[in-house]
Order: sequence, then C-alpha cells, then structure tokens
Amino acid sequence: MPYGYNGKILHVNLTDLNFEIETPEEIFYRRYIGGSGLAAYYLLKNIGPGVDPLGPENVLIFTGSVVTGAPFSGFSRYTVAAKSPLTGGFGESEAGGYFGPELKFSGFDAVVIKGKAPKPVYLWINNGRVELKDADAVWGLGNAETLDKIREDVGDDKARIASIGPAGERMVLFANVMNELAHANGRCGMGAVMGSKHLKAVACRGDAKHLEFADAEHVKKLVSWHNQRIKEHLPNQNMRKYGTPMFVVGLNKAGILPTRNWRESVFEGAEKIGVPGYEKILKRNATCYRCAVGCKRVVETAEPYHVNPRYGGPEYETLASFGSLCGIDDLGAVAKANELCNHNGLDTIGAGAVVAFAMECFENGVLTAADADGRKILFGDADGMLWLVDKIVNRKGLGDLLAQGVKRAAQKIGDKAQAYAFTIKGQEIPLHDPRGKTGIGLSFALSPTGADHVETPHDTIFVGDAVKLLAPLGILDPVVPLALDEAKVHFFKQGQLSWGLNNVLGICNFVDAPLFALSYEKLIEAVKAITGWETSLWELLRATERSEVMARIFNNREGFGPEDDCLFRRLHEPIPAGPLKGQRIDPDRMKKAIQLYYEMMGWDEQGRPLPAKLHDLSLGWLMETESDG
Amino acid sequence: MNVNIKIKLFATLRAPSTETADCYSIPAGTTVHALLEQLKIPVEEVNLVFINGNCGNLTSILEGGDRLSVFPSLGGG
Repeated sequence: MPYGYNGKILHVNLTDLNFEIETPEEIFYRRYIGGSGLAAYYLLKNIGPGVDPLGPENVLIFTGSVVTGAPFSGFSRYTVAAKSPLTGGFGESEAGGYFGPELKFSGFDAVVIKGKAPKPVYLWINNGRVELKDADAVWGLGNAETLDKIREDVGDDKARIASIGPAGERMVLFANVMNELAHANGRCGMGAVMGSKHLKAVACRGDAKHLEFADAEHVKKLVSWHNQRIKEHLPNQNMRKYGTPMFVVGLNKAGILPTRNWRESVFEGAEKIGVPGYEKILKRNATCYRCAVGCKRVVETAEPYHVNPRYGGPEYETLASFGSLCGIDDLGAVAKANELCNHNGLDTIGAGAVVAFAMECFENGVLTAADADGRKILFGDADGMLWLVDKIVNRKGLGDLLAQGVKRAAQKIGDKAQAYAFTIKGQEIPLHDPRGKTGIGLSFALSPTGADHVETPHDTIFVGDAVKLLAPLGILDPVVPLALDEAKVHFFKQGQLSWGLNNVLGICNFVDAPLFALSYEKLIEAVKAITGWETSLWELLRATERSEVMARIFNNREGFGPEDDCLFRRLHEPIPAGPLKGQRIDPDRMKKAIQLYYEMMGWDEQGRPLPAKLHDLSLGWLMETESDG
Repeated sequence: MNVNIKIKLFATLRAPSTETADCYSIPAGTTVHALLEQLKIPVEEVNLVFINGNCGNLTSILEGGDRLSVFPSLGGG
C-alpha cells in the first residue's frame, strides 16, 4: 500500500456529469511526485495543441503531492493547473491554506476535470464519495458567501472549499481560485478556466487517519525538530513577526520597488504601505494547515475603506501592485483592493498591474475621461483604483477591456498604449525589478507561465557568506546580484531546481531550504519517512527538472519559441533615480544568457529539449507528442 | 574586557564607517542584537546573520576573532 498518499486520481467529466477513478502504480508517483510535475503530465496527456483555454476541451487539475497533508509546517501547498487563457501556454498556480491537505484526506491525490457542465455545479468529495451538486444558489456570489452556503448545503462546517468569485464566472482572464478566503492560486487565470466550465467550487472533507506514513514515529520527530527550529531561526522569526509586508521597505531602500507602472523604482510612500505602516492595521497573524510560521496577516481598517477581516490582509505582492505600482500610499485603500480581489476572485498581481497600466495611459492621454464615465484616473488616485477594480469584476465599460489583461487591452486601445503595456508571455509582471537581481530576470524570461517570482532564488539574499546555504545545490561562489554572466546562469539553473522542487512537492517557500528552517538533509529525511522511498536530493531535483521539461514542451507545442523568452522594454532602460540609478539589463547579454541556459539544460538553440535529454529524464514518450506539434 | 571581531554588512545595511570593519572592538559577551543596536542598524531589517560562515541568530554571543556577516531582507514571495 502507498504511504503518505492515496494512490487514487479522480477524473471528472463535467459535460456528462460522470467520473472515474484511476489507480496509478507507485512508479508513476515516484516519477511525477505531485504539484507541477503531476499537473504537467495530465495536461500533456489530455490536451492537444491549439485547444481553446476557455473551451470544454481544456483540462483543469487540482493536485497536491505524495507528501501533502503530512503534519509538517508548510506541507500544505497545492497546484491548480490548466492551459492558461492569459498566456495560451502552460498554466499553473500554487496556494497554501487548508484545501490541499483536505483534498488528500478526502481520498484523492489529484482531481482532473474535463468538459463543461450544462449549468453551474460544484464538486463535493467526502471521504472518497464524489458528487456533482447544483451551484445555482451560489453562482454570482462572492467567495465568503459561497463558502458559507456550500458548507451549509453539504451539512459540514469543516468542509474545505476552493472556489471562484464573480470574476471567474465572468471569465476575467486573471481571475483566481481562492481557498478559505485568504489563500489564492492567483496566477495564469485558473479562475477563468473554472468559470468557463461552470464549476463554482471544489469542496472536500476527509479523515486524515486513513493516510499512513512509512515511519510515523520519525515523521513525528522531524515535525517537532522543524517546528522548534522555526521558532529559533531568524528568517522564520521575521516571517512570523512581519510577514511578507517586510519586503516593501527593504526593496525600496535597495532601489528596486516597482513604482508607477515600472516608470520608477523608488516609492516615497513605501513606509506607509509596508512595515511600519502595516503594524497600524494588523489585527492578528494567521496561518496555513499545521504551520508554525504563521506569516499570514489579518487586517482591520477604518472608514472609508473598511474591510472584512475574513479576507485576510494584503501580502507583499499586493501591497506593491496596488500600492507603489499605482503610486498609492493609502494602506487602507490597498487593503480594500485586496479584499475586493479576494471576494470576487481576482489575482492581485494582475489586477494591480492592469490598473497601473490604465493609469499611465490616462497620464499620457491614451485613455481619457470619456473612456471612464468622466473619470481621469491618474497615479495615486485610490478611489479611482477601487472604481476600476469594481468595473473589471463586473466587466463594465473600461473594466471589460481591462478584464482581458494588459496585453489584450493594449492591443485593443491601439499602438500608443503599447508603450505602457508590460507583460511576459501575456502574463502581468510580479513586483520584483530584475535590474537589481538579474537571476529574477532569467526567471521572468524563462518561466513557462510567463513572469514568475517564486521559481528561483532571489540573487540579493545569497551574497557573501550566505551562498553557503546553496552549497548542497552545487552553487559555491557568492552571487553577484547585478552580474549577468555564466556564473549567474548556473546559479539560476540550479536554484530553479530547488524552488521548483517546492512546486512539485507542494511545500511553502517560507519553511524549507535554502533560507528557511527545514534543511535539505531534513527535507529528504521527511520525504523518506512519509513515503518509505529510499530517495535523495538528486532524485527529487531530477523529478523537478522533469516537470520543467514537460512544461517547456507543452509551450513549444503551442508555438512558443525563443522570442517569447524575453523581458519587457522598461527593464532594458536605465533606472531613473535611487540607489541603482542607471542600472539596466542589456538585451543582447540577456539573449546570450538564455542561449547558455538552453545549452546547460540540454535544449537546442530554439529552446527545445533534445531527444537525449528526454530519454535521460525517462520522458521518451514525449518524443511522439512533440513531433505531433 | 574587550575583544576584536570582523564585521561585514551587506546591501542596504551598509554604513560608511562599518561597511567592512576588519578590527572592531566590542565588550566580551556582546550579542549580535546588542552590536546591531550599537551600530544603529535597524534590527527589524536584518534577516540573516552568519558567524564564521555558519548561520547564527540575534541572540548569538560574539567572541574574539569572530567574523560576522549581516544581511537584510531582500527577498520576495
């Protein structure tokens, strides 16, 4: 019998309203593990190139991993994946919270959903029993009301629910999937895919006791060791004390806080929206399943921007996207934008980015008051920002245009808007400036999901002695944040494997190696104790590379090529002011670095994994798939 | 009794006088936290300390000949 996982995958066909259960062999789990690896497998197997991401042929996957739900701090993340309506490529997004473990306890390691329901439904999985239930009563509702009503409907107030809000129902292309109101699978428009399938929510409930660990005593010992180290380890202490809002002031001091649609990199209001300003609205900490870190925030704000504390509080990305990127220093307004997004199911990175894009268009006369019911929404206009978010959710007027994301909105507004439209592969940009950390630039350019900030180490952390944390990955020389040379490509390639492993195993980046409490050695011990596999860091990093190669092949099949592995114009221009004034990324140097990365990975000059690489990773079955494309 | 240590501050924590102090005198038994306060480095901005190449804490006690590296929080997520 499998240890740590169920050995069961649930396949649901919404068109026919039926389902079947697959029971893969152990070797399948050992090869694909979970998260982005398992998701990539099912996307490649089930979707041919060219399908409409919002059509019934697209496949939507909810998956944890073989270790999800084990009682370790941070082993709670799960992946939602599908072909992305935003990028047209590989779509994947992770969230913490409580849904991932509960899905596992409910009896399935993953759910693979095809088709489109004739009318709104939600999926209810209760201790192995599967039911598609009528969602008429919750269609149109925000996430809190949806959560409450579904719990009432299934008669279980402990059911865990991943749902979409009205934004997903209306297929806003950056709509997200929320679980427990404050945890988002934010990126790639997974909420729009769910909406296109008339699937309002997945609710689940199960008994954790049926999952057995290979060495339960050792799991217990390791959990206790990990939680003790979390208490004593400074980066974890800081994460508990300040949460991700602490990044705002630090990045601003370093001169790399994206400001006013990437026009600037220093924001005069940073202290108001980050710590210390944040302390004034902080009501309490919150956490994810069994996590001792407790980095999540719950905020309370006064009128005019009163927020419902059930929706948590803004994280760093949200503070920067609705704050500095929109030139807004009113933390109450930013918290309100966060609440609106969590209630309606919008990705806060995408939503803030599209508002900032519109603001720069207004500043330059590309959009005018005639486009927005008489409003001219400039940088710093907090009410205007909230008004736009509401219009996007409701797809009204200018909001309907912006609901399609920055890339499509700019195409429709016209040539002049292109100067202010910044995306990579059609994905809005996370709030990190690669001009101060070039490894993040490589990550932005090369991520299969478009710009992504959690697929690689941030260069700035691993300078000087701190590089010792990366030694188990074979990175021995101190990282130089501004360099874009051979050493940086090596750092990125190796670092990407470690961060990618968290996406495969479904582990939070704030609990494990290299920076946080669980060392690589203990992480491997944990996987061994849970699964009983005599595994190694080497084997797990190979599984991570396998998942990266599968995502790459998915995109190649969809017609993506080296020209899509790029940054955006403003990053090639000098930072106008601040500590890193004049810093830019040379486009030719970036191209060379990307070519070198392809070579290091065993890919050809077009970024296609070579046949030998596929065989090396036991992915020979993809040879046929690839030539079909 | 005073002892000498080496200090290296990184990125935004750099101060002109202490950016690299090869020979900095502190009272024996000083903790990292106390030293940072003495150097007027905002403790809340410190995310990582290394002592002689090993990960340390704010409560770690510094000894003569120690090499201290102090890093700010410049990550993301």
